[in-house]
Amino acid sequence: MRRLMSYLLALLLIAGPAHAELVIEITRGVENPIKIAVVPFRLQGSGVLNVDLARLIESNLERTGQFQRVKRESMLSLPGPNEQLFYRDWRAIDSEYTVVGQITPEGNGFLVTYALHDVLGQRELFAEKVPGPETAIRDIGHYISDKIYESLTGTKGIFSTKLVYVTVDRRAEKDQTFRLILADADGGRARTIFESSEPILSPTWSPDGGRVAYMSFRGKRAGIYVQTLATGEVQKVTDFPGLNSAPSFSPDGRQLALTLSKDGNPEVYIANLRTGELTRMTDHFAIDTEPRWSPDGRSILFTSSRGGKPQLYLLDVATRNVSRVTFDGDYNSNGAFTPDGAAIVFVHRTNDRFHIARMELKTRAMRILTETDLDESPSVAPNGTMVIYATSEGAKGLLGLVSTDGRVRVRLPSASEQVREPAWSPFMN
Amino acid sequence: MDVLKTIKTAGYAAVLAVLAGCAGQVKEDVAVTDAAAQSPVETTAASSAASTDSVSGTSSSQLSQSASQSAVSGAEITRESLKASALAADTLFFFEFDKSDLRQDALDDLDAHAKYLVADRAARVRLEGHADERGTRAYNLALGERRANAVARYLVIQGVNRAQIETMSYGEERPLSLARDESGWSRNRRVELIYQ
Amino acid sequence: MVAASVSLSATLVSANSLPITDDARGELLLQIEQLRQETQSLRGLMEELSNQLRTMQADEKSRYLDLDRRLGELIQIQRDALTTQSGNSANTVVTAPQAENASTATEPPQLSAQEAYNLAFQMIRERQFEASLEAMASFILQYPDSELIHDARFWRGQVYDVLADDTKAIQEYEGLLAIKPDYRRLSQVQIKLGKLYLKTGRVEEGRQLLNALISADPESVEAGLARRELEASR
Repeated sequence: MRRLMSYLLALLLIAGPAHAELVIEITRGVENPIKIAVVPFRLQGSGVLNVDLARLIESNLERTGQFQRVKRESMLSLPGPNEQLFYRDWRAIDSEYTVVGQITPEGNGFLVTYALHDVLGQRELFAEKVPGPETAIRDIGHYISDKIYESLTGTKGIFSTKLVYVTVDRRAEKDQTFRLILADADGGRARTIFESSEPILSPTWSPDGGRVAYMSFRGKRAGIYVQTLATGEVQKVTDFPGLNSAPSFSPDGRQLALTLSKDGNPEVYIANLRTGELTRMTDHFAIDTEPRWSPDGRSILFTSSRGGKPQLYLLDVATRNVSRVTFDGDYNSNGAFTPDGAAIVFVHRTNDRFHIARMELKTRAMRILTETDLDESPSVAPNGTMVIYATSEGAKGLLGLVSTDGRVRVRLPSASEQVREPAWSPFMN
Repeated sequence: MDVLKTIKTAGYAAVLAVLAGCAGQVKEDVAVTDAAAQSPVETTAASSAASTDSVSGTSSSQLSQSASQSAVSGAEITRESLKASALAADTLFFFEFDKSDLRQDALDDLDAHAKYLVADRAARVRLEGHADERGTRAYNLALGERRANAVARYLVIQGVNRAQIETMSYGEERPLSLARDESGWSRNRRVELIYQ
Repeated sequence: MVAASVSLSATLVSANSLPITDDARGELLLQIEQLRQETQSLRGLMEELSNQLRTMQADEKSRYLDLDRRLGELIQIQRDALTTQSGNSANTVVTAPQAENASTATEPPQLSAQEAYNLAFQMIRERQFEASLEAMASFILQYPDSELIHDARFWRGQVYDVLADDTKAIQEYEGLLAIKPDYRRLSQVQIKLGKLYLKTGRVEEGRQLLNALISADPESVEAGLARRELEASR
């Protein structure tokens, strides 16, 4: 443990955008989505931009299920931010809000000017100028989406956040390539940050969004590794004989809860990332795994089969008292907290199908959120509005999004045959 | 154990004849036996094997203490025949959903593997535990390990040294079948026994 | 525990003085496994039972509070009723709804309708629900011409409601509405009935009834209650 060896991943340096982006399909939205028109942003001068900012913004907003785009074809005019907006024209095509913008080359990058108009109120809500280098054009688009989303819904947007997930290309039972992918929350700019012929599992974010912990094998040996995204540096946390799995960062980012079976049974441990010190938190001959730290750091939610069937339990970190949380059904596992710590989402089996469910911790009221099957690995967006999870369709493994109230459902099909183990980053700021 | 007695009285010629019969593998095994003589670990292995014999009534002192050529070769023969039956035995052991207890139909095959591993302390085996895709991945990783451990425990009870066994789990990550129904799932809930 | 069983098996292997066969050891391992599974499922059962106990205790408490509230309402309504009665008929002796009622009622011969009714009602107040149901029923049979039989039916409905016998409560209320569509506590009956319809899965009927109440007098207390029931049923 003390020899925390680190090395640079060559992969990171040569990483290319070899992966097709995730595609987004909304399968169910809210009853009355806000209708918004995002007018194509004009590029001043003669340059060419390979990103359609207006498209990116409207897709972002639409993916939340709370917005519905007004189609470009129906727009009567395509004004820029410095031109007068004829509100009547926009009301005529049912637009409640209209976004206008333009992109001006400036030095090595661009200056993006945009404004958000309230069509019914016939007024400009706000306007802003955002400068940035050419490489950051998507970041600007996500930033603008966040601003619009927050001003119209009152909730902080999650478009500038990131995802990590695992893809698998299988040629034969023992000839597979596992890739750990880092992508924008909309699936854009996907790149491989780690690749292996052995399974990669349980990627999870550090609270500052700078590091990702995951399980992978070196040879036949499983280990927990923490990778710093900016440098590609990898730190080995554990690689004991037996299980080394399911890492989860403490809210202060200094500790990792994880599962080890070095003492004979899968037990939950806490590893201090600086000193390497290990503290065993559970002691039972059944399976204890999938620890997940609560946002206040006081408890750890985990899966245990101590009652004969996998159920979720809460572990008080200070006293190590364990209490059972789930009682409905004979399979509840892989829990995760909502950012406010008031609810948990988890995998629940009902009628032999596996769904994502949500439970309020106070009332213990449970609600099944998804309708797909073999759903797993739920991860809640940092603003608490959406849950990303892995599901399956035929032989394919793909990701899905569902709002935490179950009203909005979005499919995220991908070019990869198998996409799984998604983890939503915290706010990156 | 009767085999041992018979072979002891049989003498060199017969032994050699049999040995010649099973060419390639013999060479390896002889090398291993040589190494065993020097390694303290292997010595303990041999004496524990001897004590097992004493239980079933065979004189152990001759076997463990006298390192006579004939005894070694006798063990050699037994090993070969046990190895043959171990190799013929099934190396896939299946389980019920969310369960890690051995099915009754696995026991005969496991006995064959155990007998060989007891006879040949140099033999090593890896047990890979697997789960079907239902349920969550990290939980299935733990389930796969429990299955591998269930097999390992059974082998140890049958006299195999824990050091001869390596266990690991792939959870649901390496399915044998991609069929998304019970026919596929039942094949994927397994432990694979692999000689090293 | 695994560690324990492994070391146990190690002991077995080295204990060459004990005549334990491989089969016996295998059998032992199997039994330990079975015991563990048994322990686990017992633990699971215990966890579930103690959870049920917890929720039942909480339910019990809220049910008691609810009952208490209902009885409070009953007493209030009864007082109101007595006051109204005394104003209406001059020859009815108004007795405070106290113990005297019960004591006079022990002499069966000829009770006035009001006395018989009060007697039955007293049982409700003393929470002798089963007895009160019978008393109300026999009151209805004995005094078919009394206006009070509608109240008797109303209280029978209430008692069944308290006893959670939804079917019978519905029967009483429906019967009452059929016989006396202009019953003075009509809106109360409709609320109760609507609630029971929703509770027993007759969602459409329940909604219709409650919505009718709301549109009849949107500002009334009953309309407010109806709205709350509709809201809760969603």
